[in-house]
Amino acid sequence: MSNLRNILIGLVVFVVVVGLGYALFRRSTQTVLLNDPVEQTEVGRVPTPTQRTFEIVELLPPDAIPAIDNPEFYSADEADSEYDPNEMVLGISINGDTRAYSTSFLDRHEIVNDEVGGRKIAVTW
Amino acid sequence: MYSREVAEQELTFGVSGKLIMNVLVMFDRETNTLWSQLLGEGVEGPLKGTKLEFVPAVHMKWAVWKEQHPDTKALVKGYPGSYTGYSRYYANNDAGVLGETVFDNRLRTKQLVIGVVINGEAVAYPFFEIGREKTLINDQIGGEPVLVVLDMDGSSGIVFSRRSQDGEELTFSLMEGLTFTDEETGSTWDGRTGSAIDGPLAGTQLERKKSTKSYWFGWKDFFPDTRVYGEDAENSE
Repeated sequence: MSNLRNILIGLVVFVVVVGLGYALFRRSTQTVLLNDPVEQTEVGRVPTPTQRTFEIVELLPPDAIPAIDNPEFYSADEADSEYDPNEMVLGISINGDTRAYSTSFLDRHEIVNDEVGGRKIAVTW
Repeated sequence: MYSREVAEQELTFGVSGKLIMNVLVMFDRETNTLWSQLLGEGVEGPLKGTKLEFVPAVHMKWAVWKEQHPDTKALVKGYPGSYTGYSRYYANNDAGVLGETVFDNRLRTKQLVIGVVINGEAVAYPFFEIGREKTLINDQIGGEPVLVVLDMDGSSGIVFSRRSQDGEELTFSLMEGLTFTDEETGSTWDGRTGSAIDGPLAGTQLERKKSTKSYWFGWKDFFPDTRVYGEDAENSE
């Protein structure tokens, strides 16, 4: 009997949590109009942008996933202690400044605000 | 990757907690504008409609990147290995956390593609894990001649303009490894950087075009009219 009661309580808690989550989720949904992305060519042909509707859905509060503002770096050989050979990285090279960012690590941060070869860049994942 | 120098100011980006069709929406701490990562464009706030400048990068295996760039630095993680809380997500067939917006089974949900948009034409180039190790595709997107380089070894894919610095359209074929030659001048090119290393065009550089490595479901939700290279035969070369 107590098993059944626990299951029932579990079900009620589950429904309440999912219901609340759903209500919050719907309330924070908003819609924006965006221009279709177009790229200007060298000859200057500018296609007419068409409006499309995109929905911005809020799932977490801002900064719940923390971006990295002060990244630290290893040399290539030092990095072998933390990086597997088959680990996927985003690689970039600007003005002789060459850097790699583990994308499995970026799963936890999504953005690195960095400066590479004198250029301020956002590494995004 | 994008430049943080936008509209004559330096922006610092954070994770907004919002998504557009399963893809990251960033915000900046200086103006509080929301930015779509995939579009590289402000979608709400003071800088809405502003484009972020694309900074070319490449997604590939650490060992291959290190071999090509022995002087590279690497971001400190603080732990060994490539554990990710998302490994189940990567392995399963779910279309993100929000599900799919557009139904389109030309490719399987989590087929990796290189996506490109030029002059309003979107094209997806699928990575096929079997077959050739390296693939060169001479294509046209939105009237622009492009070269797509898929390197299965490093799991990377990048896109160049096929116009020489003088505006001549070039046609490329694979030599060995990641070096190419062009039919028009016979120059030799380094496929990792797009720079000519030998022949009449030596010292010149192909322009990188913006491309996005994405799962199929994410790409076609944003660009439902996308061409799929190899699938829509009437459009491909």
